[in-house]
Amino acid sequence: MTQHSAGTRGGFAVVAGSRPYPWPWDGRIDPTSLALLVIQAPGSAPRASGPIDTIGALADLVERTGGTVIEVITHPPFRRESRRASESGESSALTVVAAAAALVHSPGWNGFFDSTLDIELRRRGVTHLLLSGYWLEIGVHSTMRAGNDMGYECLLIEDAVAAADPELTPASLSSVEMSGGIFGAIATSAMVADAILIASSSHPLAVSTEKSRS
Amino acid sequence: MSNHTVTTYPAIDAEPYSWPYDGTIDPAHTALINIDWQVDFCAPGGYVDAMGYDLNLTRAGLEPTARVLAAAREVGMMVIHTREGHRPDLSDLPPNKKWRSARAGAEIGSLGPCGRILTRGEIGWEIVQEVAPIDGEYIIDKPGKGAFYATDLDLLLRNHGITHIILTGITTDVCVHTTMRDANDRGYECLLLTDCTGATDYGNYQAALKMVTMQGGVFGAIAPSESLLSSLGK
Repeated sequence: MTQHSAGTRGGFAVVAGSRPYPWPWDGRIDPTSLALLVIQAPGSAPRASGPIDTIGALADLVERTGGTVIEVITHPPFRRESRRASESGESSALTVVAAAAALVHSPGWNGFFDSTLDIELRRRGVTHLLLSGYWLEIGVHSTMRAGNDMGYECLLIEDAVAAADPELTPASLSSVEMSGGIFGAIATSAMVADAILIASSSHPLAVSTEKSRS
Repeated sequence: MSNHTVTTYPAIDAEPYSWPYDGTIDPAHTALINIDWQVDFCAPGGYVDAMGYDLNLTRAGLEPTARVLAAAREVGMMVIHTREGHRPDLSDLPPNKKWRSARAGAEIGSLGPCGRILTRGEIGWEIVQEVAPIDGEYIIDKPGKGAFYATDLDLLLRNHGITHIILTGITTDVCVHTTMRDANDRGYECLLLTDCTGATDYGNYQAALKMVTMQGGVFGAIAPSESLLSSLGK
């Protein structure tokens, strides 16, 4: 049974199996300080439905345990004389999340760049980020790197992301893990879901359908 | 300061397109950014060494970078050096960054053979002699991996009318990539010199280079330093 002392938020739950360290660094998941970022690129979507279904399920869980879900639409940066055809301004979000708390647009690949993402997170007291979406080595990585530089504690959900080039997936994951977890840590959605449920079952404001496990 | 006439140079054979996209290299609007060539990342006794990684990988790009640096100075490019490091009181060090570094055997701010790890003013934090800055060049001290975060880099670039950036430095997949991504987002036309960079893992270095070239050059282009030097007539 997880313990929590009066006055603290969240259970002393960590993501068992995350690598290269048990996430989060401070050993405590507070579901209400957690945000799931669903990062998207305009004009295309992953062919495989796996990551999308996984994102949907995780988003539901995060939302109902008091966390925040934010859809982040990234874009190829603008060029005056483009070396490739510029994308149209319109982009359709994945809309896997029935009720995301916010939808932000970035004019670049980094979801934090020139967007309202940071302020949306701050307003809600978010300190810990779950990264999902596409493309792994492009917008997801750029967003995770920026969030990490700002001090957010980041976790990449490896079965909730899709790579534009699957051959680059191993290195994209390895880069996160090197140097003790230079950008944060990596875990599967199942590992994360378990930890959130444990943490939320000992949260003073939690409404959980799962019994806590000892 | 070198005497130079206003000269532009031909585009170079780069991947996945001839760089720069607008056809000529103009030193007046081009900056060379040398990223984190610090003792902590490529010399014995520093941060990377303390974590047990092979320094040969991060040092590999030093000699070609020294040649590129000399050439950039001769043709009159803006030259910028970055250093990752924290205030001595560690007030700009996020607690999760500190914790992870401790777990990896190289706690930031702790005393090592080169002084306090990744701390401003310490020996490990200094740029190595081979590519040391000279008067008139700019140094960006950064608390994070990206050189734009919490620095005046973008202001300096704008004030100098810079539109194109050539990158060297370490590590390819961490600070160099983050900086290149951020520069590209801001509309800078970027070139990463493939033999002027390295990573703690060789496979990650190779993948980091490949990543740039995807989707028609998602972050810019890559080329060996020889291609650039040829164009500059060096």
